Amino acid sequence: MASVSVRKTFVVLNSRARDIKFIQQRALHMSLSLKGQDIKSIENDKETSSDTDEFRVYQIEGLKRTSSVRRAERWSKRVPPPRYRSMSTEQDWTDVWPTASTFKWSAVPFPVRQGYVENSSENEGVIPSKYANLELMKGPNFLHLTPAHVQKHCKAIKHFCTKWPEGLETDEQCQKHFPVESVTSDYIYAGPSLTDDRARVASIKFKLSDLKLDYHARDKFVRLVGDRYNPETDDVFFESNRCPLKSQNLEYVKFLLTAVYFESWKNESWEQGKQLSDMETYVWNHNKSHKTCMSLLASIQAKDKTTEGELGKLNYLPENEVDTSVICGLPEVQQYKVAVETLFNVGENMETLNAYKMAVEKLLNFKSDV
Amino acid sequence: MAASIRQKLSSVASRTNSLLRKSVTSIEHTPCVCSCYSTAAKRLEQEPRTAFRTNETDPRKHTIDHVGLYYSVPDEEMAVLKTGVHPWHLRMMKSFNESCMMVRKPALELKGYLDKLNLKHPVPRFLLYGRRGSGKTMTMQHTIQCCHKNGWIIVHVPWAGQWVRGWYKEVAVSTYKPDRYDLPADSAEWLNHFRAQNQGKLTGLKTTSEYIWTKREKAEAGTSFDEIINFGLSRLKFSSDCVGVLLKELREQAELKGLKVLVAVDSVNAFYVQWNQLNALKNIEKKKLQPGEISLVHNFKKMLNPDWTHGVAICAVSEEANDEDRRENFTPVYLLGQEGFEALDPFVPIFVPEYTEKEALSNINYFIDRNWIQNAHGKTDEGKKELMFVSNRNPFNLAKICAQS
Repeated sequence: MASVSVRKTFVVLNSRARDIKFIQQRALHMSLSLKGQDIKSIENDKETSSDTDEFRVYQIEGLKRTSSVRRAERWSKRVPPPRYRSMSTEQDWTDVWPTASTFKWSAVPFPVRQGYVENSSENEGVIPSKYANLELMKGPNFLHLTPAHVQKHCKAIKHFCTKWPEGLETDEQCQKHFPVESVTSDYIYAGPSLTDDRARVASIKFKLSDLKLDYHARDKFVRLVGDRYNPETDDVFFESNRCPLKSQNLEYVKFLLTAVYFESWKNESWEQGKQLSDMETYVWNHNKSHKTCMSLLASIQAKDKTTEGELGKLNYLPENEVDTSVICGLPEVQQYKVAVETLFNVGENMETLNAYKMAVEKLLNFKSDV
Repeated sequence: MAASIRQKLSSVASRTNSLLRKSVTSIEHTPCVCSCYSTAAKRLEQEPRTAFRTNETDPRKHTIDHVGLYYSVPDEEMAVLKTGVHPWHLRMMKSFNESCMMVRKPALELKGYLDKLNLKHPVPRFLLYGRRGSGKTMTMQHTIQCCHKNGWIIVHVPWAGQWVRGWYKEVAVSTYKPDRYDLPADSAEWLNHFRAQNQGKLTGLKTTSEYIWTKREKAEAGTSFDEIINFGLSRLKFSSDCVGVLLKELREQAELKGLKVLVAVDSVNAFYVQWNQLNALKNIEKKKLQPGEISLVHNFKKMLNPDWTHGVAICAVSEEANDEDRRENFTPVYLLGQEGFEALDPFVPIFVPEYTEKEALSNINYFIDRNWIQNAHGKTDEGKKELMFVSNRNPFNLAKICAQS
């Protein structure tokens, strides 16, 4: 261990000695080069100042300022204080912000912050204020649509309006007297062309329940219109932009309504071949559940006939063999039928499952005292 | 003047002081000499006794009063139930050094149905459903124990999903019908399970018709069930057929001999719902097998048909037995699918809810009693409430959370 450390110091010493030697050599070299420069400058000066006897003074160029130039002070623009500072609280905001425009920080008299700071080192962890805030400028604002603005607009267009018709006070009344709602749009803007592609779109909306349809026709109508029918709101919505003119499109959607209506009342021959998988709802009588239930009840009936005593028998079943339609009409079977149908048509939840359970209990005479 | 006021004040102060002192002495509780005359409720020396156990170990005698209480299952009955209990539950029972089960309402409900049943009618079907880990399997075990005590023959499928999926399983073409497939190992396992569950109940049961296995081997009419089981276990090739024979004979003889047969199938939806290409069983040609093509499943489906009597079928649906994209809901029709519903309909759906507050508390107290919860905070009321909240009172979640902390 000791030997190693000694060796190390030796190496360090050695390297130091080398450094010192190197530095000395550099110094020598530099002094030599300086001497050469001096000689040159002296030779140059000989010609320019040969008349004076005194020692000439060596002038280092740029050391002393030879002439003083007075520059004019740069003109700087004085930024006036932002507008919101001088706004009074009584002012009319609609005059400040008359139309839709980008967010302007100097004109908005309330503090607002927007943006995202990643950590505490960014903007000292504070969400940027409105000053020169790009995030606030990006999004649309509604500063031109305050209640005061709307009031002003309304006031301006009021004398164009007519009186609201009597008897249409509620939405229900409107819906009753005007069942079809058609929507078209006009687009106006300052530009070289007056046409707008979007202006030709026309649509109508109405409630399916307003049409006179029977079960078959309604089912066919719903299948024909597809996703244009919304079962939750019972609305049918037809929209078209296929014709070049608005009036043509409006005529077309009205034609659609007529065509689909009369088509759905037709009963075609191929509709008779409707399979179980084509059914729109679960119908117990067509399904296997009906069959198994009937055969089960028949076998129970046969069993009950052979056994004596009343215990555990299905009392509601008739003594003699009868047609399945009679058994179907029994209240217990009807309750079961309804329960199965709601289980499929409404969907499974605690209520429908419990209803099904109760129905099966009654159907097969199960009892549990718990 | 000032002096007089001060005097008055001091006298008032002294009076109130004395009054205060008096009132203090009057309120102060003196150790009553005759405590027998005291009407005050006696302060409890320790926490109130937490009742989470019942001495009624016979599941047949459980009533609504026992709901939420634990009862211990003796070892000889545990041998019957063991195969149906989930391994993590078994491990827990082993750690607790006793096998305890909780009496719960759905099990009592099921027992109520069974007690009032007319066995001469075609087999009634009961279907347990509930959220994952809510105790469907344990409800089934409770009922199985009941029926076992009553001397019923138990036909139990602990986990039907085992038969319809798997990767390295031996799948052989059925010796009985070429378009069906046998699972020799699973069939043998089930035969063992069946024998273990019905020890002593199968004596005297004999086949009623002749079964020809091969040219040289056959089982004459009158062969005992034990022999059939032994044959199936020694000749694995025919184990699936042996299962079929046993089930068929049980169905036929149940009415003749007045047997009582309990068919219990856990996760019955595996019988009716297909598995995806990856996990489903495949034959040698890598063709995916439908559940109905597997002879075991085919035979057990027959047990669930209402064309035989003197039996009861109890099934449970579970989300795990369905393919991964069909597990959103826990309701029976969704899990069974149209085919399964049509096969089981009309059944009695029995909802297995998660723990009530009483049951959850009883479970936590049981864990504390078994030193399973050792954390001091877990033993406080607040800790118990936290456990209930975090687990959402789901039995499996509760056990899982208590095992973690």
